[in-house]
Amino acid sequence: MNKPIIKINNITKIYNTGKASVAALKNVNLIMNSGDLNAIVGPSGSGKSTLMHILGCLDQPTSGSYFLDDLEVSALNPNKLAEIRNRKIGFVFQSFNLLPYLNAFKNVELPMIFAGINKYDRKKRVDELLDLVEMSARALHKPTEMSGGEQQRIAVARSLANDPEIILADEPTGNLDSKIGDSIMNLFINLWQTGKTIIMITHDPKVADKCERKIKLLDGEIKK
Amino acid sequence: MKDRLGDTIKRIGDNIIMVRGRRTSIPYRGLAGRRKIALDQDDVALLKTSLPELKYVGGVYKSWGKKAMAEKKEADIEITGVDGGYGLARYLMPIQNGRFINLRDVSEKKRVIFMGCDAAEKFFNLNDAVGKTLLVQNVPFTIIGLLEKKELSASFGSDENSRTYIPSSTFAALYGNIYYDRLIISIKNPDDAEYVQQRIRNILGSKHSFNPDDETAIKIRNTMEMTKKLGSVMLGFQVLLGFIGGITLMISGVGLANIMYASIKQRTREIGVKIAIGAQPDQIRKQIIVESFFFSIAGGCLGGLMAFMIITLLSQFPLSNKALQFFMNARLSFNVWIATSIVLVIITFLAGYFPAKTASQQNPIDSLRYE
Repeated sequence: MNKPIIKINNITKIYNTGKASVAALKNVNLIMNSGDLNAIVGPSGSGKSTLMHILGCLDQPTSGSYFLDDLEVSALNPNKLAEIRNRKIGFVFQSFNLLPYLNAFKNVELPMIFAGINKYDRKKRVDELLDLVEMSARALHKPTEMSGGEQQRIAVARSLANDPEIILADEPTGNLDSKIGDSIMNLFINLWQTGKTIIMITHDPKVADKCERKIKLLDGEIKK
Repeated sequence: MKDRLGDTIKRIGDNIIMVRGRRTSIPYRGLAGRRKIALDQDDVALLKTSLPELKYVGGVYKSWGKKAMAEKKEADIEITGVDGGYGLARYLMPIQNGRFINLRDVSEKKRVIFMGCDAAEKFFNLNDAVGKTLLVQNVPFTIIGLLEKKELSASFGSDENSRTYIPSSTFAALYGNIYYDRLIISIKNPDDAEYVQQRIRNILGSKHSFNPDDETAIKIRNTMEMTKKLGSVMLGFQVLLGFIGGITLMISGVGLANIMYASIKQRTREIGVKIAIGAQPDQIRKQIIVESFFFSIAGGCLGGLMAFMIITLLSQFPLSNKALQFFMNARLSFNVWIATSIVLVIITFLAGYFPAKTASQQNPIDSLRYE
């Protein structure tokens, strides 16, 4: 029913660590449809993070091709990749990664500054997003004045700033207790229901079970 | 500093040539060497008529250690006998309500005296000395003016502040001198200096029968030469100071680059996050370079302020030592300021550029993967 937004053909990623080469991904093939809620699961060292970085255009595969929205990503230059990360992908990290010297409002605003959006539109959008994650009251607080759950809400709002099609979340509930983790998870489910494609790395089975599709990685290969 | 040296030269008088009779060293036309050459009124007249390039020619008599008395005080003074044009040629400016020796003083052999401040202070209060009488070897002279105090006069011979001047005619009549201590000559165009000096040697040589190439027969010095000499000393000075300044700038550039490297190292994570959420490499670079300019402008302002404060502070010290005064009365040079700023901008850019490049090429994965 939904069109494929991510197509990965035969991707291999090899890390050269001194003398030994480690294959983090081996001939991975994967298609993800627009509007899906995907969970990538697997033990540590299975290649989850590597796959995530390639999907997020932060890293390039050693071989194979990656099409994002019918665009061959492996062939793009750094400026173009930065643009894709800015417009098409929203990142949510396990450790939130908000800039500590900026308040919540400015953290959410940052991707729009990089995108060159004017001040008026930026303010409108930040207010909307802070409403969406129920953090309007904390707009002028810095990350250090917020709880982990609150910081992650801000991070989710930031990932949505340029209205990307895909949200990539790397263990988004990993640093949170289960109750707050659940509320963040619900936030992602709400986003999924509005039509976003969500890809979530997790090793929490409770989180994975809530997802439509589970992709299991083991030793750099996908297990069906 | 260069400005001040220029001022000093100017105080001696522009384009002045000094000629003194000495002894010959080369036998010439049957005359033996080691003959004394003495210059008198005829030489002045001869030079005046034969060299149209000259603006002024005058003979100067000199006498050290004449006993003088006034206000019940006694001291030895140095007396110079000059004609009416000397004051103008040598830039001897009288302080208020005084004047220099003029043509009438000379033609009427008046007993008037113009005094340097240090000489006058031995007898009088400087404020009311003009008009009073000074006895020089029991001959009364009326004081007609005082020389405005010269700091650091690079005069030939003694300090101008301790000299006194009387009409040359009076000098000759009283002390019986015929021969001048020296001739003072000023020329219209400084470019003629070399030519005029050679002509003076030729003219005086034929009159006094000495070889024009005999360097010791007469001694000629000019302020243009001094300017040149001082100029080369100044140049050496400036090269040295410039060298020190250059090294300082280089060190500050390295320091700045170091700070920028440390700062981007510290913010690896922040820069990684920015790259991950879509900052262009250019935007990262620009940010780091702007920061380095911020540092250097702040540092530059602070440095400028400190220089200004130090100079202002130093100028507050009342200093009696003239050489020290020379260094302490430093001035901020606008040109130097501009040049330094331009060099600083270039260094800042370089010091910021390389750290910025490193930052923009950083791999975001490394900075995001680890806690």
